Amino acid sequence: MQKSLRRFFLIRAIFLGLLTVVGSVFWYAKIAAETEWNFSNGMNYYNKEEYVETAQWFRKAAEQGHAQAQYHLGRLYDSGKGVILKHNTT
Amino acid sequence: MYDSGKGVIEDNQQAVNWYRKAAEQGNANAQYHLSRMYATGEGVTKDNQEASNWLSKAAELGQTDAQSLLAHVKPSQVAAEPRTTRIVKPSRLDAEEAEPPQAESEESNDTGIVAEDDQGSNTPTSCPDNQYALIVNATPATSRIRIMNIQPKYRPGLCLTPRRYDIYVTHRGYHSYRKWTTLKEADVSVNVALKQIAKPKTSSSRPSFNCAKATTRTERTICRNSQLSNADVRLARIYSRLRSSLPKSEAKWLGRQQHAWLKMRDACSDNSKYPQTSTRRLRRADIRGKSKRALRLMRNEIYARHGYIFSDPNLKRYFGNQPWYSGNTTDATKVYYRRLSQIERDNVKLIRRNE
Repeated sequence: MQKSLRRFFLIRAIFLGLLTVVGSVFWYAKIAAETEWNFSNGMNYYNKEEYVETAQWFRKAAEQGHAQAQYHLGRLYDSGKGVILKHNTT
Repeated sequence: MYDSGKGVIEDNQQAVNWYRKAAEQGNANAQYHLSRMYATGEGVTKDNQEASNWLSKAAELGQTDAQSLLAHVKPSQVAAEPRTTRIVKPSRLDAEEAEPPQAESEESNDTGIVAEDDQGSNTPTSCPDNQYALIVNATPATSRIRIMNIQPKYRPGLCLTPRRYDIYVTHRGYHSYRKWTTLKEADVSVNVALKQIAKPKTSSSRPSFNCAKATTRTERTICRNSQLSNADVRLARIYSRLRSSLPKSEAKWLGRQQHAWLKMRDACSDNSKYPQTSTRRLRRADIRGKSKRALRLMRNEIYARHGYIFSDPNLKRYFGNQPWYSGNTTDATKVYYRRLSQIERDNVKLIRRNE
């Protein structure tokens, strides 16, 4: 009885551990895919010279730690693109 | 927090933050730009040490801008004298960046210099113990002599402690001379003969077009002034070289741009109130002491020059009365991003910040 109980717990522990590992792998893959998606969206808008949307997508990716996106967001801030400057009068 | 719904408002601090995040993850481009921000002090306190750190990191990762910039900073300077290690501003690399005019005749060009170091010549001097005289004999005699790595000004027979000195001799119309000289255990006299800068061959002061057929006011002005003629010849040569190097479709585009530019140039020649806003980067001194109204006019004149139709009735009336003005669009964003040059955009930003 004791032996089977121990075996039960062992199997359960292994099963839970496996589940955690698989789950976290999937989770990270999902985050990475999302980040990449955000970045590529930003790139699309950037190529269309629509800087406001570009900035929005890049910010999403940048906050998720995408180095390229962080760099490009920095460039946008630096050059003032994606800005709504009140250009015209007053 | 910035309003995330409306894109980015130009903000150097934010730029630095994001650059740093990317740079710490090993993004070479970000490292290069972070270095630039440190060197110019935009959005962060100026720090040459940090700037050179990031620059060398970026260069190590193969960032080409950083590498060519590092090549500009002489290695001997970096090693020997941290005080004179000066990061060349990256803007120096931009092709359209205009050099300050006084630098014209004082090119730091090592070619064509005759110089001899006369170590230990026995000129009697009266220097205190452990100090020796440094004498620079320059021809022409009116040359300006500077020792770049120490504070006191150079005078003949200046007493100095033994170490290395960065001697810089310049004269208007001559190639300048710059060299490190070691002073140890004896007086040193350096003979420097500067060579004259050869006059360019095209000093016949004829512009690239036929003056007899000059029609516009700008063309006549260029014909009258030899300096402008030379500039015109140089520009025409660069333009034709650029044009022939481009594929056909882009050459066409360049031609269109050039026509647009000619139009703008002619517009500038008429008496707009602040012509400098389109031709060079404004400095703080240009803006200081001007009223809010004047600054607003200054900024809007840049837009007016590119054909923006104003919605404000006062500005509309004011620019409508200018002979050079002709508006053709009401889209300010389009004017800003498509028509203004980088210099003009920077000027708009600068004026806006000070309004």
